[in-house]
Amino acid sequence: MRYSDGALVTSKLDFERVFQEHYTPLLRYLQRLTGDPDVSDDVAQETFVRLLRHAGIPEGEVRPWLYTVATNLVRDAGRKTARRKRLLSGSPQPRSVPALAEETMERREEIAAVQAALALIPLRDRQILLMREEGFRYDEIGQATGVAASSVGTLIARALKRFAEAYGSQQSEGGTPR
Amino acid sequence: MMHLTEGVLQAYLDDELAGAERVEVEAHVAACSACSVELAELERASSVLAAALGSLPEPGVVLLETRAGVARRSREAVARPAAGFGWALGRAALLVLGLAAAASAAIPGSPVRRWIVEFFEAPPTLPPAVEPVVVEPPAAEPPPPPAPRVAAEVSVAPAEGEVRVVLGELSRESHVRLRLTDEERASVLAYGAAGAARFTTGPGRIDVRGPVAADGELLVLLPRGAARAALVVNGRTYLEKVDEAVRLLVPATGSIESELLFRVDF
Repeated sequence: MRYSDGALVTSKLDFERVFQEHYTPLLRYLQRLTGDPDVSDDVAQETFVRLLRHAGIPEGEVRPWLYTVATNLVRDAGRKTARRKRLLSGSPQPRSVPALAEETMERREEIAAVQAALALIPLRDRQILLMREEGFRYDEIGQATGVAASSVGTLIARALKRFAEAYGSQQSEGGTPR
Repeated sequence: MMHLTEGVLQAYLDDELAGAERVEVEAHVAACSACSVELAELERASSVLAAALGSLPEPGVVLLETRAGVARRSREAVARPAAGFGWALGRAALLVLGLAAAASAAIPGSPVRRWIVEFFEAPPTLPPAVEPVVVEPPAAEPPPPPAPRVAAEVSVAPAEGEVRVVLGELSRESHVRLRLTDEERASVLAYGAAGAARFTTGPGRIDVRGPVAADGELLVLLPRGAARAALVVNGRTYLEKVDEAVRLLVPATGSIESELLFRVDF
């Protein structure tokens, strides 16, 4: 896909601007996608390092490129590194929960419920829902997931229902989000 | 009357339809109660997702927590530039940038901004004069945890599309992790004290009997492709999957990536 501006990320100033514009949203996407701040940190950093090595990408294509690369890294490398280390290190709690020590128990339970519901649906469902939340259009989501743009609406609708069901099952226990 | 597909309705909600098609959808929905209900359901599901995601913490909170890690990464990256790990400095420095992006925008002469310039002009070769951008003095790092060891592992294929994992006699405070997997077989992996449990298998079924002490951990992998799947812990059904529907009957205490964490509490 080509974008109208056709500008290339060829200068240091371009890269800096791309970094400042996209790093935090990408990190938010990754944290929602993985539920794991450590994995998200690793993947976001590595994604931007890879961007440095692909400096000829038209600026209009940078955003979907970043999210596609980051999602692939989550699928491949992220699973084998930080998560596995902590998973089996004897630490019983994911970092995301104790990191919110200042939050109320109720809020921590709510966060855990959302993370659990996201974890219950397939990675591709999470990817398309979260890319949509970040404002991607259907053609960009289709490009990132390898499906036709005309099928994205159906995929989103089904993923939304799966998420709502998974989240509802969390809420049904005790009547409050957990 | 032909009904609209959920994909078309979703595209309508997401403002992905061209003008003429949008008008057609609006006219159809106004006249078709079934499609109107479906549209409302999709709208509700979108609201549920947006509200749920809105409750999650924003990345800024996490970035601030990584200051100690930044110092460590910077030091390690500079110490190992020739070890075939050339991008490590870039990763460390990018994390610094994440912490200092706003500052660098406000302070044109900041070291972070200069680093961006130097690194970008000569990637991926490491600039020889780069100093580690240490936010705060590095704290002494604890030794890494011992390498994890799988003490026991069993797996079975679904029988007639159904698979059931039954864990029993688990101590309070022991841990169960659950992941839906694209593999065809269901598996249970035991770590630490959980290796002392007794494993038995039958057609489409894995039984694990304790003792599993409080520091033990079991990882359960259930195949997404199974028509029916269930996880039962100490007689209580934690998760039930029937076709595409997955019901979590016991709230998870947390999640890591695609895995749910349960702490056995009874």
